[in-house]
Amino acid sequence: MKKKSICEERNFETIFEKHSESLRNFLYYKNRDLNLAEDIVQNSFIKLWKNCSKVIFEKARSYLYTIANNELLNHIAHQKVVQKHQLQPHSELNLQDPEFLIEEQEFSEKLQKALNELPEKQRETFLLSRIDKKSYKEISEITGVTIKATEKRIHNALASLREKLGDIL
Amino acid sequence: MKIGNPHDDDTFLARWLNNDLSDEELKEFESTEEHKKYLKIIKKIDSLKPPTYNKEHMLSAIQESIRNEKKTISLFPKWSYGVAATIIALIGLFLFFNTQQTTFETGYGEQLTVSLPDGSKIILNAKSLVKFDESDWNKYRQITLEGEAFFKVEKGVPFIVETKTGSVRVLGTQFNVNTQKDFFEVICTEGKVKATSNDKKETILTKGNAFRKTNDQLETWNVDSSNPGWISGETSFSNTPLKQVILSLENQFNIKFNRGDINENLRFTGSYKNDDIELALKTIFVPMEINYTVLSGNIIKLSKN
Repeated sequence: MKKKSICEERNFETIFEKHSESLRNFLYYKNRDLNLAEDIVQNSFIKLWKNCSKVIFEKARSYLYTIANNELLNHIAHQKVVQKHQLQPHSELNLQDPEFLIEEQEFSEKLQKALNELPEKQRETFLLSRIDKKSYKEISEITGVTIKATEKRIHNALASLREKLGDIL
Repeated sequence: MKIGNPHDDDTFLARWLNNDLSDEELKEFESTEEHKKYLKIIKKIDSLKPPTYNKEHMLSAIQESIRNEKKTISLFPKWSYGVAATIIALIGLFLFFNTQQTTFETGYGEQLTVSLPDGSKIILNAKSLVKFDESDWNKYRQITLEGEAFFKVEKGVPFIVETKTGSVRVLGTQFNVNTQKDFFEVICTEGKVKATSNDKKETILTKGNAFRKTNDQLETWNVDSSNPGWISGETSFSNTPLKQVILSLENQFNIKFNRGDINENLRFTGSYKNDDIELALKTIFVPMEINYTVLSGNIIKLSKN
C-alpha cells in the first residue's frame, strides 16, 4: 500500500489547511503574543517540509505541535536572558468580541483580564475547548497529558474565572 | 456552597461542559445560583473569537521562505516512486505551490465579496468556499463552490460553477447558488443560466426563475428578481425543506442543533434577520410548532411540540 508522503505538495498543503490555524490559536492562547505565534507556525511548517521524508503523514500534527512548543520554550528562555535589564511589554490576550454592548463592557474587560491571569496551561486548554471547539481527547493529544488532566485544567480554569468575576455576576 | 470550588470533584465543571454529568448531578447543579453564574461566563466566552487568520498570506510566506532556502535544503526530498516522479519534482520545485488555485472562504455569520479578473463578482454567504484558477480566465471561467454564493457575471467566455450537487453554466447574468448535501438550488435574477443537477437533469432559467433539487425532488418556481435577501441581512426561504433552514441557521450564527425527533422534510416559507439569533429562532420554530432549548455552549435542542 502506497504511503502518503508529506514531500508531495498536495499532502503538505492538506496538512497546512487542517492544522495551521489551530496551531496558531494554541500558541496565541498559551503565550498571548500573536506575532510570535504566527512566526512559530511559519517556522514549524518550514521544518516540516525540510524533514518531510522523515515524518509519517498521520503523525504530522504531533510533529508540528512538538516543534512549535519547543520553539516557544527556546524563545522564552532566550528572552529571559535578554530581558534581565529591560522592561518588556506585557502581552495581553485579546479575543474578538462580536457583541459589544455598553453594559457588557465591564464584564468583557474583566473577563479578558481574568483569562490573562490564568496559568498558561489552564488558559490554553480552556480556550482550545470553548473557542476552537476541540474535544477533550484532542486537546489531551495536543498538550500531551491524560484526559483527566485536561478535565482538571478546564474545571480549575472555569472555577478561577468564577472567583475572579464573582462580584459582577 | 463554597465559592471557588463548588464541588470536591475537580473535574465536575469539565464534565458539565461536556454533557457528561448524570441526570441527578445535572438537576442538582441547575437548581443552584452558582449554575446561573457559570452559564453567564460560558455564554460570553463561547461568543469570543480568536484574531483573524490570513491563511493565504501564511502559506505564501512559507513558500517564499522555502524557495529562499534552496541552498540549505537538498533539491528534492526523497521520493518513494520512480524516475517519472523525479522529473515532475524538478519542474515541481520551481512551480512549487504554483497551482494558482485561488480560494476564498467564509466563517460562521460572515459574508465576503470576491472580485474576479474579468470584473465578475461573487458574494459568499456564511460557511462557504469558492476556488478558481485565475490563469486563462479570458478563455474559460470555472469556479468550484461549497455552500452558498450570489454571482454577478460579466458577459464573456463560458462561466461555470461546479458544486458537489450540480453545476451552473452562464453567459452574462446574475444568479444565486445554494448547495448542501442532497440540496441544489439556483435562483436567476438576471439574464439566463443553465442549471444541471448531479443526475444530469438540465433546466434553463431566465430572470425571475428558480430551481431546486432536494432528495430526488425537482421544483421550479418564480421569484421577485431582486438580489437575494441574505446579502442585505435577511435570509429568506420559499417552501424550503426544514433541513436547509436549520443548516442556514447553523452557518449564520455558529450554533449546533440537536435535531431530536423533528421532521426535517417539513417545508418553511419566511425569513429571518441575520443579526438577531433569538428572533430568528422564534421566527423559524414557532410557526413550525417546534420547541427549542438552549443547552450549555451553543447547542440548541429541538423537539416536536
